[in-house]
Amino acid sequence: MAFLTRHAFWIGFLITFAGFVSYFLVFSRYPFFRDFPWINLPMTLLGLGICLLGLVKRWGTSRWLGKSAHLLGTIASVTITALFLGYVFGISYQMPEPGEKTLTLEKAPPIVLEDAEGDTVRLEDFAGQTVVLTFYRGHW
Amino acid sequence: MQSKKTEFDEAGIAILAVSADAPEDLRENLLPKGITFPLLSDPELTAIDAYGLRHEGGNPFGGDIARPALFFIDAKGQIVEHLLTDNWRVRPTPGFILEKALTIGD
Repeated sequence: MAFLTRHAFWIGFLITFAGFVSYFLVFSRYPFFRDFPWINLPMTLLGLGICLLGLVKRWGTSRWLGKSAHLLGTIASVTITALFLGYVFGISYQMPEPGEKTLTLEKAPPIVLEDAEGDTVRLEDFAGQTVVLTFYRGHW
Repeated sequence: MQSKKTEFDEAGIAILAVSADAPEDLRENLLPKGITFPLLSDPELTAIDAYGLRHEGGNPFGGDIARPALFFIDAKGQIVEHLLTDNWRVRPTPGFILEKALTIGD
């Protein structure tokens, strides 16, 4: 326990950081963990908790260097956790409402576009088949 | 969706994916992942606008992109159903999409 509190500023920060980064690099590929961050949310909060614990436990006994380290670690973890929460519960909802046009479409509007290989693809080429047409945000 | 591509093929269901990405982007970033359904490039947002899906300023680096959306189109070109998420992180699973597509044309 003493080891944990003494090293809390970097252990906690690393856990929070790993929780943040692994959401985008790993867990966003799995619908269950993407739709709600079952692993990443607890990780960021756990890391933040460890930082806070270290800060509280060591504040009285540490010298200025230890105090600064614990303070910095906690601030960094708070920032990353806030970014993650902001993204998951805020920013990713920031989309225009689907317009009347989208909701009332009956006949599928024609599509003529180039595919990745540069060939022209038309929606009407798929007449006679069920088509799943998906629009996505893209890679930018 | 690629994970269920065989099932979609066997059921005779076509998949088309549209984004505002340039063809080079699609070629470099998505084809290497082994995607075999058509990835359509709509940099002018013509199809995206035709379906009313423009998300102005949706690209954090500037510019407009599509909001995510799914349309189920029957053999006659009629839209049978649409699925519109209210959060771009949260999307239906390939299995769910396949199940829904299989009910079309019954």
